[in-house]
Amino acid sequence: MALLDVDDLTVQYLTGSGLVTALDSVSLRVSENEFLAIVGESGCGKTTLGLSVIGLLPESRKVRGSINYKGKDLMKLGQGEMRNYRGTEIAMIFQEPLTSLNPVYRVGDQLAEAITLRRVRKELGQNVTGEVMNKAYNTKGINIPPILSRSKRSVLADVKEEMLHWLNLVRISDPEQVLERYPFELSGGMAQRIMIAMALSQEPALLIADEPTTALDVTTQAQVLKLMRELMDKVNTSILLITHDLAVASQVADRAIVMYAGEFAEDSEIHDLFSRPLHPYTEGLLNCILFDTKDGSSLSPIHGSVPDMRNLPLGCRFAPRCPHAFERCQSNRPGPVTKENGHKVSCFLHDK
Amino acid sequence: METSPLPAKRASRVGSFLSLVRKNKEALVGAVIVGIFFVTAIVAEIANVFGIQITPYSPLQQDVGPVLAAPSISHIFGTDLLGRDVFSRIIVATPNDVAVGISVVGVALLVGVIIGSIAAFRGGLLDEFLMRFTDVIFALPVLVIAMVIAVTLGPGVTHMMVALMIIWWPPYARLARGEALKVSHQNYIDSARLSGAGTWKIITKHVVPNISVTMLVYATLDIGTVILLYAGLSYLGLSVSPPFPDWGEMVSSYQDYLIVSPWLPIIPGLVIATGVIGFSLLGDGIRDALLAS
Amino acid sequence: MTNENLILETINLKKYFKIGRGLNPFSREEQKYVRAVDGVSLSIQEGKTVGVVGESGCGKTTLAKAIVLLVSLTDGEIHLGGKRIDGGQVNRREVYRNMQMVFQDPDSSLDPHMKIGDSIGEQLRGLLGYSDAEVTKAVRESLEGVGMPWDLADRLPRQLSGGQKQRAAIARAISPHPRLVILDEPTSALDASVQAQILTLLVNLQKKFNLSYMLITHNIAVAKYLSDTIGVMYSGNIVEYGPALDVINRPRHPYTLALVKSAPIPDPWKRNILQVEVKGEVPSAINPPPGCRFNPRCPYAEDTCRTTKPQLEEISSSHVVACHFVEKTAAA
Repeated sequence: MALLDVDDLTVQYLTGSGLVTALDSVSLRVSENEFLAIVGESGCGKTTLGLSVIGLLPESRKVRGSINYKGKDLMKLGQGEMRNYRGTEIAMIFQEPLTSLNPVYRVGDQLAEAITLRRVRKELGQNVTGEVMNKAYNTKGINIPPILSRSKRSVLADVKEEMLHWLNLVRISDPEQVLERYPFELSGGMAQRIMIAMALSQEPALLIADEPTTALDVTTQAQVLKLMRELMDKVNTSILLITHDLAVASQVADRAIVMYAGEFAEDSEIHDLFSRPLHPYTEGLLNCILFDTKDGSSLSPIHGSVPDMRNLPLGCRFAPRCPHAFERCQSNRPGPVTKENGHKVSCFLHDK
Repeated sequence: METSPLPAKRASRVGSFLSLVRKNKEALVGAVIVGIFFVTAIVAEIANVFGIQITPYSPLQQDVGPVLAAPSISHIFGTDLLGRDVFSRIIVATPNDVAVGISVVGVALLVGVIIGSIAAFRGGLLDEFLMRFTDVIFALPVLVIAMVIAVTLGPGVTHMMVALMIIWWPPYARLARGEALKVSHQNYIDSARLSGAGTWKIITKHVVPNISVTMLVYATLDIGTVILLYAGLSYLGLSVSPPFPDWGEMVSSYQDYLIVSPWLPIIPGLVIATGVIGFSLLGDGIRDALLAS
Repeated sequence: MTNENLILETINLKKYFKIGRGLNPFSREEQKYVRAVDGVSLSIQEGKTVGVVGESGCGKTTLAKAIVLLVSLTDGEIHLGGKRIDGGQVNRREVYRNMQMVFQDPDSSLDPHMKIGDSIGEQLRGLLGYSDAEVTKAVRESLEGVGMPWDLADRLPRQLSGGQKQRAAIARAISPHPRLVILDEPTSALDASVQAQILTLLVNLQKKFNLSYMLITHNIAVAKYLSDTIGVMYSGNIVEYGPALDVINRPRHPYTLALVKSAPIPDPWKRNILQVEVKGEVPSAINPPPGCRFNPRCPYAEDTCRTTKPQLEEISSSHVVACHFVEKTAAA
């Protein structure tokens, strides 16, 4: 059974100019221990997809379809029930690590809070309910880290041991010292690694990472991506990486899903995607990749630009820019078709 | 990352502004109130200049009706202790408060923007000096200044206006400096420097238009505050002297009659309050409209 | 000696920022400096592109701002077209007629309250004294030159996409026909497909107008695409400098090696990222490590590296590297 099975997901936002469809009938599947990349440019809906899975969409939206996690449809859950999954079974890290950490508490306190909550959860059973929170924050119960008890500065010894274990796992040098630091004293790379540690300390089955390395330097990016790939194997988590960078996807992902203007374009095993791209948009993206110098290059940009989401074309959304478009593409929208090797594509070129 | 382009039709700023004001009922109420006050003020002032009487009775003439009469058809707001028509007095006093409110804020806005922008763009010692000077002026107590001026130059609307203008600008300077600093970090300012523009040209061409939204929002909300303050000074007798009417002064002269003829002090007070509320509501509406665009 | 054929030459450029003490002349605190640019010498030939590659905090943006005189120099010289421009008395209008800049963030490059045409025309009015009619005509030509319809001149920036804004910014920079354009991360904020369009445009413009470019970027692929020469910058200094292909295909400085190896190759069969061994982060610019600034992170560091700062030395024609043990990277 797939870990995550998104079926025909459609998300629309209520904006000043009416209903804007951010995601249109998108389906995908994540298996256990799989590294899946969702690749696309601005406005393609990849962030919306990530937020839908973890249930963090804004209030003003309409959703259709289903998101099945281990067989359970998350769309049907209420806010309280969703909290049982968010941050515990399904974790998420975001683009700006320095704004993901609370600036007024030390790193150690925040990491300890995460670990303590997980332990109490495990002790009382799966659900993060009021009871769990009470016990975790109860001064008379277990010894708790300073963030939770403003007077005490001592941390329970084995919580600290686990924190150091995680910091070492994410390759932070000098972890004892880092525990005492405040978030503003950290560099972007370190903060992101701490976020990964905090997310993984919850032992989620699925980690969603939304452009986790976009704000980082390229050497730091390499370190963080390498770390994510290694950890996935060690910790038995699947990773859903959202990125605009095909090169990043090619370096770490097992499979990639390409999205365009809110729609699903192509879904394929990563090597297959690069050797045999089926969708003209994927082909176009591959041609945009810089391999060479200005004199030797065959750089051929895709003409035109991404459509205005309030004013989408009829038919295939990529048709206005597609070098292979024909009549059917202008009036009908293609649906996903499965080719060899589980390679799926939404394009009439492959749907005869 | 990338943003999709907006549709081609030109965004009509006046059009969207009006539609937003229309949508916001409170702002509409505010606009109506301010409109009434404004028109009354202008008409009353013009009439005053040309010596025409636009009110049902002369505001200064005594015994146009029974003394301390309650509001009635012939005297909408009743008459006061000397038999003068209260309504006429209120109308004739309108230009004072409106003029003070708008001109004090206007001057504060101008001075504040100039000082704040220069401080932000020149930086260094000039910035320090200007901001400390601003702090000093900010520390001056308005009441003391007003009284000093009333004592040395004499009381009166203009003098109180000047008193307020002297000390009202510091918050504007601070706000303008903060906003100008934000603007100064934008790349288009660097580009303007690369077009040979000097500091002054950059301030007038790029800084002022880009800080105007925040400044105007603050200013429109501030007018009500100034009116209230001026009414207070007038209440203390620092503005017009009797028999000339002024809202604050009227509250002061009529307050002894609160039990006997309650409408007498209450009505000028209500008029002041209505003016302040009207400007506040309108200010809120303008803020919502400007921030939404 | 300055060479007249060089469009731009910087000699030992230094920019230090004072921090900490404030305005108190009696403060006992020692004056600390952020050594953003600590002795950079480079040159650009006519019609060529020099790429300055580095990560955040290396000083490349400060370098760019110093060259366009937006930031005053602490030390060093800048020569534009053979003439020295870093003195206080220089005629800025003349300098900017010959040198313009395109900035990184297209959203803040254009005044949100000004129409595109007016923004583009600003350089023309300010530097060349164009009249309104002349500006309209020139703006039209500029917009067409960057592949945009001329009626965009009447739009406001918020009605344009990121790519369109960047094209407008390029149009503005090119409009006074400068000889040198400084490009500060011109495509970092743009999507991949738009990036390709903008880079193609920049190459075409360079050929058409014989422009010289100084490209600032952290992206190796972009640097390789546009540059003829590349300088790698780390913690305020150039650590390697030479022909673009040499520096990228045969990097000799350990930092360049790490940088090149960290750049994700769009090839699932060549997962170079998974072999990267760089540790640590960019050092503090206030208290850089003694000796070679890269030594704490360098896999080849030895004692000399911790005490003596290496100077740029030639390892082959026009390829210089600042490293005591350059031979160690030859094998990598």
